[in-house]
Amino acid sequence: MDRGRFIIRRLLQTIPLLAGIMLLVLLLLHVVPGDPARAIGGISASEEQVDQIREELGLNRSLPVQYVSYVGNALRGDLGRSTRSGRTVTSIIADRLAPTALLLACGMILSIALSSVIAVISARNKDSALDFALIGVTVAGISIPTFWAGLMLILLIALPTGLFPINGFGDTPLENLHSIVLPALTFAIAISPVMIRALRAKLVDLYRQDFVMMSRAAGLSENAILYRHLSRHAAITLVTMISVQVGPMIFVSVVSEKTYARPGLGEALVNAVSQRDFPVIQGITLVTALFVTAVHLTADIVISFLNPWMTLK
Amino acid sequence: MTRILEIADLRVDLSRAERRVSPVGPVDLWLDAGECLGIVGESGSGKSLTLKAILDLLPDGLTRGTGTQKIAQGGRLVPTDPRSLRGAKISMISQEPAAALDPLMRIGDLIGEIVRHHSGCSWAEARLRAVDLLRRVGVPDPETRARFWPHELSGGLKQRVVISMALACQSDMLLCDEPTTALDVTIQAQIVDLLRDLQVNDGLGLIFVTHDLALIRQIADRICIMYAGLIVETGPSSEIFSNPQHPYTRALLAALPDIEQSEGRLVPIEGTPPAPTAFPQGCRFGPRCPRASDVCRQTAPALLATEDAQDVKVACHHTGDVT
Ligand SMILES: Nc1ncnc2c1ncn2[C@@H]1O[C@H](COP(=O)(O)OP(=O)(O)OP(=O)(O)O)[C@@H](O)[C@H]1O
Ligand SMILES: [Mg+2]
Repeated sequence: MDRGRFIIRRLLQTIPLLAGIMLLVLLLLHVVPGDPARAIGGISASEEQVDQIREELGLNRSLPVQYVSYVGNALRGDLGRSTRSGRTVTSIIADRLAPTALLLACGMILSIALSSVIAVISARNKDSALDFALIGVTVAGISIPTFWAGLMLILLIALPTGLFPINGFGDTPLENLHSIVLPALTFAIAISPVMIRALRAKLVDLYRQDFVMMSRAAGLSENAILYRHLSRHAAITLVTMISVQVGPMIFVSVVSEKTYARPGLGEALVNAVSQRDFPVIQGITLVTALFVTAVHLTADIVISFLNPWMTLK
Repeated sequence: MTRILEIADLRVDLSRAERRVSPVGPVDLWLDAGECLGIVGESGSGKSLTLKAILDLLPDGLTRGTGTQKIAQGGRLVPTDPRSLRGAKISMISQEPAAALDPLMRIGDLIGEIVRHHSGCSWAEARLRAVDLLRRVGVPDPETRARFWPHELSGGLKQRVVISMALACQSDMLLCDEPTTALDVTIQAQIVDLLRDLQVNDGLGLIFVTHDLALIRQIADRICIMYAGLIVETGPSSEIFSNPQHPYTRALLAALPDIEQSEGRLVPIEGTPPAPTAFPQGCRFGPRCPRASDVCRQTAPALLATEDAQDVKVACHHTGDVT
């Protein structure tokens, strides 16, 4: 099978997936025990208010009808209105998107850079004191709770030096970037350790391969072997790890946003949950699910370019 | 004949052992220009480690013991760092052509990379040279094949590609570690013909490791018989095959049903070769040897020239005894 067909098939597979995601998002309303409208209105709401909520959310229609109208509206970019502020969910998401997107992007880039450097040093000096030290740091990184790492960065770096803001997002692009340093570092502390372990294991295995020995026998330098041969294999491992780790990444970005009081989607979601603002919860959940789907899809396509025989399967 | 390689006391040691454990050596080896030296021995006798040690390519956990390695340079033999020989004076091909090629690189790039490394030419020129090399090793339609991925080639073609990568180095010596074991019989013959052609017509010196006695008889000028990390008998191929001296060599040849038939494979002799950590005292072949006496159990025999043939050397206390 060639690559074009693989990509088309993979794209087609996402259509039923998206339909399923939207169904689950719609059903979010119904997982609340009892009457969702009453749950949203709260105990003190009058019977008329609860009826009005039910009307607004379309809860008095049958489920298939609700689903069709939800999908139809979503495709037109209409995700309903917040039951608290009355603003459209789309505009709330649009407002909150930038800080989160910047955090995810910078966090990922930092994690990839950090993991690559540490894994290469570790694998090249396998079983040395340096390797053991780096493994120790990695294990520590895995066991540290993210919020605690965030607090430590605030206490140990931000407060004593005063170099970095500890909350907010800033107004200019420069301020935005400045505000991202510590949250992205927190993100990388949480996400890198697992990547480092996978990459180190991959590299150690690669260094044992015959083709590495044959490249050495042909006189290629260690750097040439690393950059021209091993980097391609490692890239596949990295992309796979990003794809696998996208769930933890979202979790970590929510925690990081909360720790640094960043006005992002994660913070909006936490607030919406505490206020039982269902349309906002649904909207942000849908955006998150779309992001996860897009990452998986992109990873598969990127790997099909890196790996010449995968598309044959 | 000009000597191009001379190694004395080559040894491979376990890096992390309390006492010195040497799976290989000490071993002396040499090679003349355009000559084919065959190394034969049972599985585990240390043939592959010997080849890897020449280029200091030993896997983790093994180190090359000291010993001198001299290389012909400007008409003289000069001691040389083994690593500096990689690809420059000596290149290598291996038993598993499938594993020897980076699966994520196209054939032409794999060869071109080595061409570029040794000549410093441009990528465009390296690609052209890669196609030439593929043609030289008998790959049909080399222009197209240069754009193939390794997994798109058959085993025989993969081994030809590996050979062309070794040729890209333009070195004088080629170390071949059972280069035909993983291939079908007909393909084996083609690869052997190709190597033979490179040896005879291009003057490439070969060190050829194999289990296959019939094959070694066909291509080697000189033979080393290895047992438990040591050379037990060495000499011109014709001498060894017509008049084997060491009991181990005799057992090997006797195990051949008919050495005129080219089906001859190494049939194991009774007992198993010892592991490097359990090499016996005295002669390492002693416990399996029909002729072993007290002296064999106590002192290791040295590799010495025999009385009747000066270019044959045997490591046995009973050389020359009537059988
Ligand atoms: N990485 C290693 N660490 C420790 N011992 C090793 C290692 N590799 C090989 N050995 C030991 O060295 C001995 C020689 O191994 P080698 O691979 O050279 O044998 P060989 O003659 O090439 O055998 P074969 O015909 O099976 O390829 C074996 O007994 C093996 O146990
Ligand atoms: Mg071997």
